[in-house]
Amino acid sequence: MHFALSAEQNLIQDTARRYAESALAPIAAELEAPTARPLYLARLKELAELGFMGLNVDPAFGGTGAGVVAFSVAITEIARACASTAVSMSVNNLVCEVIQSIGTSAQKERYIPLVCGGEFPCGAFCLSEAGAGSDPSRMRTRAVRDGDAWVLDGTKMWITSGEYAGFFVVWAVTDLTAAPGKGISCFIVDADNPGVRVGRAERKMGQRASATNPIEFEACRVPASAMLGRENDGFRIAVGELTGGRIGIASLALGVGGAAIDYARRYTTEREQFGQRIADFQGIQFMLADTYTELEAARLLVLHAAWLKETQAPYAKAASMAKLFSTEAANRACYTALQLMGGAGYTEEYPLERYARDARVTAIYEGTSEIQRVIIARELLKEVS
Amino acid sequence: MNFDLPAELVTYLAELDDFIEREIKPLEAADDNIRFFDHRREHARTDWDRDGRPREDWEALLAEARRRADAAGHYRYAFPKEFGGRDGTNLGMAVIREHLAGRGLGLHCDLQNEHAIVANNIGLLLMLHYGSDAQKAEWVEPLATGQGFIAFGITEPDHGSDATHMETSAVRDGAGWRINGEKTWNTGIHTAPADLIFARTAGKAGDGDGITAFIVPTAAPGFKLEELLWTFNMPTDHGRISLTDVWVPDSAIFGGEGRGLQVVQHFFNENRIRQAASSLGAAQYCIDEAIAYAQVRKPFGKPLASNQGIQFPLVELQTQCEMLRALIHKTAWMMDTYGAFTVSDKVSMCNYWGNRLCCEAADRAMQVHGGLGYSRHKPFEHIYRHHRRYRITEGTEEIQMRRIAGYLFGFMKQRAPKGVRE
Repeated sequence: MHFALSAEQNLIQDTARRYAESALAPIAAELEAPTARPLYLARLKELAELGFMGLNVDPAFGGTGAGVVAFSVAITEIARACASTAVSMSVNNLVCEVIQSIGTSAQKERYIPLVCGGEFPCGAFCLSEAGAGSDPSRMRTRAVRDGDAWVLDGTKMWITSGEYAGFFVVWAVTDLTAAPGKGISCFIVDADNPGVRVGRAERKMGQRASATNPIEFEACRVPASAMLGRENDGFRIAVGELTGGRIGIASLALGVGGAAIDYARRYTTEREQFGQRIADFQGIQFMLADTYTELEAARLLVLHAAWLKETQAPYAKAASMAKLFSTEAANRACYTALQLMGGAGYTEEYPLERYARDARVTAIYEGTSEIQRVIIARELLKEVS
Repeated sequence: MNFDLPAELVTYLAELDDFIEREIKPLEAADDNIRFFDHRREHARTDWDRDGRPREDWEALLAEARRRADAAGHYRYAFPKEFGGRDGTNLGMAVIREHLAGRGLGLHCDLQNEHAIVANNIGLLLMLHYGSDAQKAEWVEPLATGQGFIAFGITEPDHGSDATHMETSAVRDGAGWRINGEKTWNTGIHTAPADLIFARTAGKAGDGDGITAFIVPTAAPGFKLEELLWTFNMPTDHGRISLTDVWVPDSAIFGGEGRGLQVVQHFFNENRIRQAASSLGAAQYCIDEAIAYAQVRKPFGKPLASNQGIQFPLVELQTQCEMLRALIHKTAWMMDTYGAFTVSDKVSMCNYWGNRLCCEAADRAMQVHGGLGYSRHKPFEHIYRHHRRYRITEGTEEIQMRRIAGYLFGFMKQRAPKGVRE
């Protein structure tokens, strides 16, 4: 047992940190404006050039092949500067991993290099719908067989990178007679397919530089070769192959929470009240002590889950525990950091309010905290029955 | 809107304090009786070689305190004047129980034995409400003086929170009933002359109707005390009993055939609010003691109290006490004004929050007192252990939350808990 990163993982972490501090942190606030989209996409392209869009992907397809722990520490560093950038990076890595895991050779050779190489700024997953969020088995989007093609109809919601993704991994019901979850399949749909319509971006509390759109599929025709994985196996893919995304979001939350409390810690040593640094009040010290303890615990959970996945051990429970704890701890860290900075933290002069806004969704997307608890409990009970 | 306690209640608390100083404290101080309350308390109270039951000298001392309280006119406060009481209210009982527990451990109020100079005599309350004339003639006087007691047999080894799924049954046999089954956690059973046994007489598992309460003499053939269950806080008076072909006459039915669940609900509803008030009092006591100690203890040359790390946790506890006190007073007042069952959800809120708060306050008091707090020379470990029990008995925290959720989401009827008819 040892807790040190390998030389390669260290190098990736350092690279990510230096890039985040120099290229992302100075513009993170500016990126929130809708007019800053070209700059945002340019940064994503640079991240692809650094090899960060396929960290756990085979170099044969343009990936880095550095593993899951490297992916986790890189996400954390990027998120310390800009959560909106980190979320696209996390989704891109997962899109590539899923295609690598279950795609045909043709699908792998075509799509993975496009994302890893930066030709497409993003790929996107289309799973959630208006009436199917935590429970994707109730999705209504359908794919009907028509000769040598499938025709998709339905509307997906909350699609990260929807308006600039080059292609979508889309889940749709292919067997209407099957029980919920039993007749769902997965497809790769190119963004320039005439049957795809991207809806107006959501106006969100946080992670504003990253677009989140509804995507409408209307008589959207794809060839049979567009099916990803086996027919009617889509639900398993959604609940199984996407598990790695939880490690990504847990790592992201850790970065945001850590950045917030680091900023506030420095502030407590500079701010004076009642004739002393506020850091000299025990009430303040204990808030710092509790927050750093929680984030350190979160870091260990996250890295442990990443290590389990990397060593190909079962990691569903660990990933859910890491996601649950890290995202909740990050939100508490942001809340505490705002409190430590007083009125100053509440203004846009400081990055604290953005950290707090960016952190909030981490306990909601990629499986809410409640869904993580459901998964954890299910795994726990499976172990004894 | 007025948040002042009724003047007569404030006056009465002073009267109780005066009685404690004159008649209870001297008794506590006599004959080394303080052994039952100081660091020796657990050993002094527990008859380790007789299944861990309370020692007879300990129970005799409690009985003497009750006798003095009854002679002084306090013991029956909650009961109607015609039975020697003062027509006490739920609000009055809540305030008095908080006050007594807030004085710390002593002969005036020993929650472990459900003993106090103002009785929480749910047995008598139920008897007045549900007893037949013959039952009242037999039981009111001994229950009122605290010399008689009826244990409560609802829980079974396999059925706790799901009491309506009980396996104990009673079937008609001649002019009476034959009861078979097992009950557990029958408190006070080691000396009780009778046990109120709940048995299914009709219907199926889970039904609210069809459960009947019987007053069963513990000396009846086939009634057996199997064991006393050793607990976190000793001594134990919590027994597991078995009933093998125990026969009782029709006249043993208490509260009507098939109507037993109402008796159970009544018992818990009344007990839960009082338990909450006791927990609040004990929590306040722990906080008060911790604040006092933090001002005299001076590590690193300054009072412990000057550390925000000490101040803030006590602030959080005190804030919760203030909120809980307001809710308990309101809930008890609503029970008095609109009927005991009308606010069962709020009773449950008071109960689970109060019991949890008391454990947290005792835990914090231990932390503030350091090694001294952990020792038995301070009462916090005893308070913690006793109130930890309250988070399980009278309905677990989870059962309280289930009831609140039931009202909140409309799964349960607000005005009548399962099995209750108004």
